Amino acid sequence: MDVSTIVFWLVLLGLVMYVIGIYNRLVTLKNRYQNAFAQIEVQLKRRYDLIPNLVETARAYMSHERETLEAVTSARNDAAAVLKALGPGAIGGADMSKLASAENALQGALGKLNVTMEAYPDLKASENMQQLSEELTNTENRVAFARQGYNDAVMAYNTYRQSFPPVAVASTFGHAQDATLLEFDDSAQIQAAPQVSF
Amino acid sequence: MDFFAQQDLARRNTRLLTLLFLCAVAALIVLTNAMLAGFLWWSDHYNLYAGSRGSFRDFLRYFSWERFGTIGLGISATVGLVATVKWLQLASGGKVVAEAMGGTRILPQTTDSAERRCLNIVDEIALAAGMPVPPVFVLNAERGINAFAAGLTPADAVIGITRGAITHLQRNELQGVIAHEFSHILNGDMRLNIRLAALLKGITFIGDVGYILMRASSHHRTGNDRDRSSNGPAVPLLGLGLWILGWLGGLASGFIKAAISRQKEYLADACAVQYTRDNSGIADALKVIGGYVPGSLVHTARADELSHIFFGQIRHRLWQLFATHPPLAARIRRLDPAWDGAYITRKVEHYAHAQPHPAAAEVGVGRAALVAAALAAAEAGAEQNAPTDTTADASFAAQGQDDAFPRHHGLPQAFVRYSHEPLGASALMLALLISPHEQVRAAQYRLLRESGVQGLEELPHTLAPGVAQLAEGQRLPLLELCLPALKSQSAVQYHQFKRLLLALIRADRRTELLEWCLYQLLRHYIDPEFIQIKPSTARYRSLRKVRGHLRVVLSMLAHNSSGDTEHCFRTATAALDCPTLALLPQADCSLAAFSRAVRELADCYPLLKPKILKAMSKAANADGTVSAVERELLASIAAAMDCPLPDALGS
Repeated sequence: MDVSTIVFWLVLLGLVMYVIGIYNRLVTLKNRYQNAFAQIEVQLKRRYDLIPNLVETARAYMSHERETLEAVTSARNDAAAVLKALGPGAIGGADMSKLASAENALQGALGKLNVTMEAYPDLKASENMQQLSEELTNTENRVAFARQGYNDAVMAYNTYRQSFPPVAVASTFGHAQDATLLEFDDSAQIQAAPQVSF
Repeated sequence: MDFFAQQDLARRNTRLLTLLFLCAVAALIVLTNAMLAGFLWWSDHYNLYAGSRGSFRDFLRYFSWERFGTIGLGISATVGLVATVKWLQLASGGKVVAEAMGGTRILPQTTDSAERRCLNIVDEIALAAGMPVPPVFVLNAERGINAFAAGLTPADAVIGITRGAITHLQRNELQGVIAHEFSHILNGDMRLNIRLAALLKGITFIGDVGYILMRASSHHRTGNDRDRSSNGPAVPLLGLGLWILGWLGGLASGFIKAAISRQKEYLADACAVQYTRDNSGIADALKVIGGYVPGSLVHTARADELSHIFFGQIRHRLWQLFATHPPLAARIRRLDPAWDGAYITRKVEHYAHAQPHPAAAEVGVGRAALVAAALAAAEAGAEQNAPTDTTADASFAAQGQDDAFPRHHGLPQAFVRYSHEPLGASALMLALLISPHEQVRAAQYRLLRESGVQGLEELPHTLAPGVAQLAEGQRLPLLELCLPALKSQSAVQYHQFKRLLLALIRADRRTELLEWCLYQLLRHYIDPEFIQIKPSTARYRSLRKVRGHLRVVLSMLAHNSSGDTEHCFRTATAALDCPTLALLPQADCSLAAFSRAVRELADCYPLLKPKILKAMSKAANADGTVSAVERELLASIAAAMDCPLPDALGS
């Protein structure tokens, strides 16, 4: 074997390794965004599971705000039902919009609860209520961050898939489509400033 | 601000600087090479009589590629070796670093509201960054506002934070700080930094060698005059040259390393904004540091060599070139271009340095119990929960508060709570060992009292009656429940606990089967957290060589089985294809022999072990059920053999 043959095989080997690398990277990124999506479900479920007990704690302190608390509970139950109906892996389907609106209702109810709590300074100062409010903030943040983490993962995947050289081989490896970002139909409504009435 | 663009910029700068660093190392090696070659040539061709040394052209002729390569290889190998040694020294896991700096771990069931908040935030950011949740350590003695991330991979990373930071920062600010640390973990900054530090050590080693040569030859001069005449002033000159080279190289690489570290800080700031989607949080945290009297200073001794992993500068720096962090104002301006230059002043809160440890009984009963109860109750009640029914949420609360959880095998609620924190978990394990015999029990209580371990003197005492009432089938679940908390102890605490455990076992001068099982299980699951375990060396390739030991172990199992002894033993031997094995009478099955036999079986070849364990589980199941004692025995044998339990017994 002369030198040029060796060089040829080496270059070929290098190319094959590179393509394998691209394939593996695509798989990693895809799994990452799918995992991120699963995280959203996990966090939503966590929130639905926590709310009844939190409401129960609040009830002991604000029995006269029964309506607000009941609104939270019923919004939670609706949203939990929608999430349960949503099959696993339904990324970006039509059912997502249903979940989005149920989620919005719950968000609104929780927001109202928070505002109501503001109205009672004694209540706000109590240790239990502070814990409760920290728990609520934490829960809301978890959901928000899980969504955002999903979108970041999708972005990383799409960017890598569309860039060159991966774009040349991505569709042959079964990565023909971009992943969809998490969007809500009622984004106009979300972008509008929230109405706070006193 | 466009954080993605800033991330790209910082990454590009880091790459360039790293390249520059490597170039500096290479240039230094080439220069040292040339100097050494010159020295060799000079000492070879020094003409003693004429005093002439030939022209520069002679040197070039002398200086062949081959020689160049050999010397270069030698120097590179030396530098590489020193760097590797240094790397091994520096590359310790995150936990080790955090504990060396005086950090104590924040446990998931903490009742301190500031610590609670901090843990919640870490969970949130872990979600945003798509990373496993790292353990969090708090530096209780530090008043400065600072935080660090340690560990080489995301799997062994930990986050450390000062007490000053968790008490003085507001929620969104703390979020920014922690997100910054997550970015250090994810971008592999600790790894890069340790590599650079190791290489730097390799470079300065050249200077060290030069210094030693200089010193050594000056000693020589007084002692041995003949050597000097042949070598002239060459050796000290060479030493001086190497020393200067090493010093200059170290200086230049030090600059570059600090510059890389500063770029990494910008990168981490930008990533923090990506994770929290909020640039005001981290910007405000930096402004608070600017207006806060103790600043971001950290006083622990170990902190110095790890200054680059912190959130802010830990020492005052006079010379910006060597600073590991960019100036505060520059960082704030990148995050918040509209900043008016005003820092935020926050009242310094004073707190006792050593916070009294809350009584053991109170730990873990507070807020964590609320959330845990809510989650567990929700899980249990999820099936029968009819959505829009108001009675459903009433039943949630009732369950969450005081009912026993079905998923905890009917263990009392109080035990479940204790099992979540290290002290309670240790006490539960010790309480399992308390003997039913009056005399032994008294001796054991005395041992506990004399142990001097705070919190463990009385607690097992209080728990023992309840533990004694547990059904046989509940011991193993209780132990499993305690494992995570036991793992979160510090190494010292664990050794104390293990000593106490052994003392209690030996209190009656004999070891019972239950005690043996308990010890084996604890050792198997918890030791790897604290002790470097040597993997057992496989010695036995076939069952024939361990027949004797197998006989003892199987007989022990058969005698303790719930069904017919002979039938149980036969099932096992049939499954193992050695029907000639005979059952040992009960009197010959001593625990010592059994223990030794299990240890020997642990040295079987890996593929042999599952076969043995499967046969045992078949034997335990021979009468159609697996009793609690059988399950415990099997689990402990599997643990002693470092093997997972066969699936048939999984749960």
